Amino acid sequence: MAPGRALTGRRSRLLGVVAALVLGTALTACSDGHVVSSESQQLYLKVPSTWTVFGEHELSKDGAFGSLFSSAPIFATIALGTKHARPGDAFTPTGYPWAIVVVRPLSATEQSQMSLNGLRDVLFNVDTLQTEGANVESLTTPSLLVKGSLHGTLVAYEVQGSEASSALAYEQETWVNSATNKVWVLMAGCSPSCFQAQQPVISRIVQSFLVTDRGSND
Amino acid sequence: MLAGCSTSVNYVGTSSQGVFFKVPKTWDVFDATALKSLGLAVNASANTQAADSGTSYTVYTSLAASSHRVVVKGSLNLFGATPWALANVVSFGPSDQSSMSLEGLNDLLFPLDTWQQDGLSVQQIGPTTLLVKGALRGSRVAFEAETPSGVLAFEQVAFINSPTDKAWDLAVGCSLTCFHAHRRVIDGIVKSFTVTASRS
Repeated sequence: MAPGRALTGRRSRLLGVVAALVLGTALTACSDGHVVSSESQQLYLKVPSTWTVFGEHELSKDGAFGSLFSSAPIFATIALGTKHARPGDAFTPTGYPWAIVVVRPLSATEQSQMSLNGLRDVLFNVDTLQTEGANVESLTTPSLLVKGSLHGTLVAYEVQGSEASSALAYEQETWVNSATNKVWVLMAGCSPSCFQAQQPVISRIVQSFLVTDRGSND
Repeated sequence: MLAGCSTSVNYVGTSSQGVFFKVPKTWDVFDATALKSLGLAVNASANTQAADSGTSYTVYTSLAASSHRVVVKGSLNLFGATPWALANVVSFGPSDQSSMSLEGLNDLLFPLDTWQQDGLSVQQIGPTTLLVKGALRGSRVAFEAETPSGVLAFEQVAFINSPTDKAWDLAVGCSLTCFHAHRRVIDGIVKSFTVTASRS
């Protein structure tokens, strides 16, 4: 995928819904989907209107979700493609797709060591899983993304643990700012069979992900 | 390219690669012939091969020193009492592009990691300063390094662009004693390092 074309596409797709955005973290129901947005974190995302969306308020009450992170994100939203789901179902090989958006700071060590390769590990540490014996297969050729001072990657992986039922497939778009101290991540996935069946839906969600932060303070 | 723009300094750099730095007017700036004789000239045919094979290569090099005494018996002596300033512009192949980090910029000009792995002493002098200029990110840091050929001290400033496929760096240094004696001049040269390319 050519980054420039993809971004132009995203802009045009979002053109009709940007006017509906409100200040702060917002979830706006549109006829063709929910728009998840955060003005403070400069991000926008659209998921199908039938999905259940958990905002920061709901997530803060969910212990299972909180346990997913070693450090608290600045922003987090989870959307799940079913009406009966818990936020903690994200990252698991569900039979329905889910999408998680996280904005988090990078530590000083992460800042100095972060590379384009390393961006794939900011939410779900593929490198560690591989070291621990998991089978990790890249589903597409990783794409470099560049937008002004932001740079990032678009990747897709299938991760197979010791049990077949634990296999997980996902697509992930990650952006980092010029100072390399903040990342914006969208991860969308489910079980491999679900991922295959829901690929058009997942792709549309990933393509809708827009980070408008300038990525630089000057 | 070298252009004298004031009475006290010489500007060294090239607009084609968007990089400049200032050295005292009294310093010698090495021309293409001198760089070639030192083995520092950009090799266009080697670069073409490197680009074809997806490896990184140097697209620009410049060298200035407080005296021609930095060249001893036809070789560049980085470990003596003559301060030098060496700038490079590097184009990264896919592998280096994927793995390059701010920390990795430290090894752009000198293989500090390799020296350390070989048991040589490499010590950072002072803190690392993170630099952000639009879409460029980088760092400024000084090292004292024991190398296979001698001990040198240098301060380095390096930037990388947003796609992470190109880096600009400048190192200024000499022997440890010389480095401390010329700290102010070296600091001025490092501070003057300007990259105008790919800022957005």
